[in-house]
Amino acid sequence: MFNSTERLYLKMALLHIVRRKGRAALISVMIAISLIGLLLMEGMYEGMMVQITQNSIKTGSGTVSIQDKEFRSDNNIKYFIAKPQKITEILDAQEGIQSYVIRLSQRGLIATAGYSQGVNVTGIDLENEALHSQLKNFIIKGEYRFGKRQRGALIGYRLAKKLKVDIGKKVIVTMQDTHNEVVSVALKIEGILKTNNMAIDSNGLLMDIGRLRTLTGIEGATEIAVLLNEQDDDTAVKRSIMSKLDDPKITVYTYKELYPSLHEGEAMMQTYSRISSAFIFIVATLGIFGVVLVSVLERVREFGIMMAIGTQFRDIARLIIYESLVITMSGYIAGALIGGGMLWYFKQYGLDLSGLSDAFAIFGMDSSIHAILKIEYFTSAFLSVLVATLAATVIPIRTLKKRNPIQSISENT
Amino acid sequence: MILLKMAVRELLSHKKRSIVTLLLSAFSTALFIFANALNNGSHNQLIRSSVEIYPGYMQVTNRAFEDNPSFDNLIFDIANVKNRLQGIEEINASAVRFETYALYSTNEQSIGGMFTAIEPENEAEVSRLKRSLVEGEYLTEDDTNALYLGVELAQRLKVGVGDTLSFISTGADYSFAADNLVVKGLFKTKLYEFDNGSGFVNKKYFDEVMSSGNIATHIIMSPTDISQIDTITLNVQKALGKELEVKNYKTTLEDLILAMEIDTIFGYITLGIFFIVIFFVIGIFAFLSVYARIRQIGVLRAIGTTPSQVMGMLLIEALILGFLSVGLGGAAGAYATNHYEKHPIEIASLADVDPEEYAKQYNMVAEVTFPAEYNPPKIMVEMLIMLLLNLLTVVYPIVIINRFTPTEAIRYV
Amino acid sequence: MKTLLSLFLFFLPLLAITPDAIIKNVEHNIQSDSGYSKITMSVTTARGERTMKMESWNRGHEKSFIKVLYPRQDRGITFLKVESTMWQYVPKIEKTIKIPSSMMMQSWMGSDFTNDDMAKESSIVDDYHARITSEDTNKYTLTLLPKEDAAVVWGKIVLEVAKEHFIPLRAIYYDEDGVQQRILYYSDVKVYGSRYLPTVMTLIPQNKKSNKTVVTMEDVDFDVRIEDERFTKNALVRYSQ
Repeated sequence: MFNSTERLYLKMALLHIVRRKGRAALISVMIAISLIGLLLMEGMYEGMMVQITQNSIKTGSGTVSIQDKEFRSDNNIKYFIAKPQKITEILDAQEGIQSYVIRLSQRGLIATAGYSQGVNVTGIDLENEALHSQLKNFIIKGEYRFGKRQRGALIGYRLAKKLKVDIGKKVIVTMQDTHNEVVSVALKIEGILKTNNMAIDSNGLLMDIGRLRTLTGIEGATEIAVLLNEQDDDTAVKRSIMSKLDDPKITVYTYKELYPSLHEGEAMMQTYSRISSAFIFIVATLGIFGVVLVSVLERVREFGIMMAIGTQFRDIARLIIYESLVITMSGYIAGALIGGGMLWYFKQYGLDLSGLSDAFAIFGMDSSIHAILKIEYFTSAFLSVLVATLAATVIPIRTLKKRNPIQSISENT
Repeated sequence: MILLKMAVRELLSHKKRSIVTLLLSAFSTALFIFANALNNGSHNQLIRSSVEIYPGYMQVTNRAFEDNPSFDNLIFDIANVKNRLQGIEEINASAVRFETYALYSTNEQSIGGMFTAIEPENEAEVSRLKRSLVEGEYLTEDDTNALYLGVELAQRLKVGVGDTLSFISTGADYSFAADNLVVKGLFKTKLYEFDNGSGFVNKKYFDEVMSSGNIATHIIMSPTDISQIDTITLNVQKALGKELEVKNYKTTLEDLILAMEIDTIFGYITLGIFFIVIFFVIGIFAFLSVYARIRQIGVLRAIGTTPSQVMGMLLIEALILGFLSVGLGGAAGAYATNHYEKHPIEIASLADVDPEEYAKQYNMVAEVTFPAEYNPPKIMVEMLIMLLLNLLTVVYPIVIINRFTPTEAIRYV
Repeated sequence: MKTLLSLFLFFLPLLAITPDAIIKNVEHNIQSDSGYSKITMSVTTARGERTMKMESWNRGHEKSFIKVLYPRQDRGITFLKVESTMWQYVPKIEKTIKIPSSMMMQSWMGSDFTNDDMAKESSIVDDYHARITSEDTNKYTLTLLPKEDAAVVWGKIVLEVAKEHFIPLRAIYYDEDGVQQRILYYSDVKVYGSRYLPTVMTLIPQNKKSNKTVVTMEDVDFDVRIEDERFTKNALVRYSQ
């Protein structure tokens, strides 16, 4: 890998570093710590954003959502999709789709003997929903089932708390059917959900879609939520479905259209972490620069002697760069290992902040944050450290050249 | 005195290093001050707008109202309560509300919603309801049958300014109440749920149809000094007695307060990473400056300078740099803070955040501007912290240097 | 107000009588296929008492029509219930309003009854399984548990019925956790042919002990001719006068 001269320089670089281990250590530790900090920040913040987005996408609209044009502004069951089969045929043939579910929603009133309040009733198919949104994983109490003859329901944990109901208890849901008649149904609570999608947690009741169809007299659906293999295909898939569907009454929304603030939050978070890392590396460059400059200046005579015995200035410069790189890269490796290890841990086990879970839930976050671990964090950090190191050596090398090392031998410093 | 001279001479002889250190430290001071001010400022603004849109800073209700908001648990003698409030100087303004539920009905449809009586003029002092007007006119004290309606609810009811609709409700004496109303104005607070479910009428008129003379559900108050709100709350509670309950926004808007605490924590984490790096660099510079002078210091020690005098000299250097940089940074930070208090940063230009979408998703007010909070005492404290941090950076170099005996130091290469 | 009664029904026979037969007998006492009565409803709260007077027509459980006579400002308000749908006509605003699902748990005319109480079409037999849980010389005690699909909020109703003439005495309503929510007392029995009707019903909600709603029936006619037209939406306006 290295030829013998280069190996010699490397050895010299290492020797010098050992001689001045205090300052070398300072730089390594600085880089390691800032890298750990940056990795954690990036990985955790991105983990948070992904979590918020996923919570909304999975249990909510999907990556793209197909609805009647009017349904979004007025969540009224009268704006329903009469023939979902027509759409599902298109979806079945569509490329890039991971899964889709058909849902039917209606607003209503939920009541117990002591309390009543508004509720969003959504009819779902348990099996499809489990595959699609992993809804099963959000059950915090009870079972993921609608029980005997689909007489059960799942409700959000905040709603359950307000109604003071628990597993096995009965709630009465009253709503309007397709003819605007009032219909009521008794449902047994089978499971309590904590999805961190506020729409479900504080206002949602899920019941069997077949049962809800019988109750409301609507055979269709109010929404088809679609998850894509690649989240970024949203616009392409939307266009493709729209053109195949060719129905002016029905619209396809992407999650970016349905939750614009999510997408903006993501973009802001990214800009924020990019600016932060740029800033940190600029400051770090200054630190490296100081150390390199001092170490060069105190060895002007040493370098003069090397040049006097025939070493090229280019090689001296290389020696200086090697020295700096060994120091910074050891910091990088330490930082990447520790930071990467921590991220891996938090990816695996999550960072538990359950003390703050209520506040987190407002933003659609879980109480445990799972980090994201991306190779590009490390490659971009590697490049940044490399650039910072090289940039930090430019001025010291130039200064050294100006001092003219050979002459300096005769001078008495 | 001689120490001071030596310190100054040392700093001047390494101008570049001194300037870089000084600028770094000045920059971090300014950043620290500004980041905190921005954080506090935008949080204060968020609280202010969330509170002022409708909930109000402080409220009085019947003590039993929260658990059981029935007409048995009202404030039954407003005149008396108002009298007692008048004697409390810390209360700036107060307004009476009667909140209840009504069925709003047009010829086509009926929708349930909040039906609230307000004192139009007093209300304008405690909330932004008046300022949220988007069409038509706000209510006056002489209005009868005039309704001030949320835009979203108006849309659902398909009515506009000048249209007639009816309400049906239950009077404060449990009597049946119904009347025709003319939409006088439409309001939009951007709190989606609120705009989608509330209507207001003049209390004098309301009292006639709802038999609610001298009765209210809430009295909303704003304090003269918001920072003293907990004390004021206690004082008002004492003045009003046990029957009534006084609460301030910290209780009524608990979720919001929690959410902001989280935001603060994340801000500190990022700031913490910045600081670690910056202080490493400053530390490295201090370390290098001491190392470069090991021989010189050895000489000083040899001619009789005591270690504590050496330490004194180094500390004075750090102090000079510290004072200068913190002064400079503090001034810059204070200037920026002051400036951005008057001219808030516009977030909308940074990312295309649509406050309405944000509000709809989180049911929270989204602010498009981020003002800073200009608070001189706070800035002083922050500057002091930075000065101490600056002094801390010379601790390690001093420890190192005092490890050398004078002879070792002189021979040090 | 037969509708009200029908909600809280109960009745007994002698010998080895079945719970359903008891209820049938109670229902016979308080309801007919074509009934009329004048009703006085007084609502007592912590802050005083209000009295309303009205007229009521009913056809079994399914259909009923109510017209308010007093207080004067409410005179002419009419209600129509057909199966589980309820309409209301308010002369002051000249509007017929269909009570939406979101209002179902709201108080009916300021009383301790809810709109839901008024609208529920079914008889006790449709919604509950009845069991005789105790019996002494004077009365049967029946426990009514909601059928699995019954859209009723109660967890249990305990009904006491006098053995003599199957006159209902008291119904206690429990929530799902077995906590008493309200008690309905029957009193002042009057005889109308084969029927023994308690003409006064007193409802006491257990969570608002100072509240009380007393319903008194007069001029009861169990066999009145009612034209079909009365149970249509048009009747709301026409019979408002």
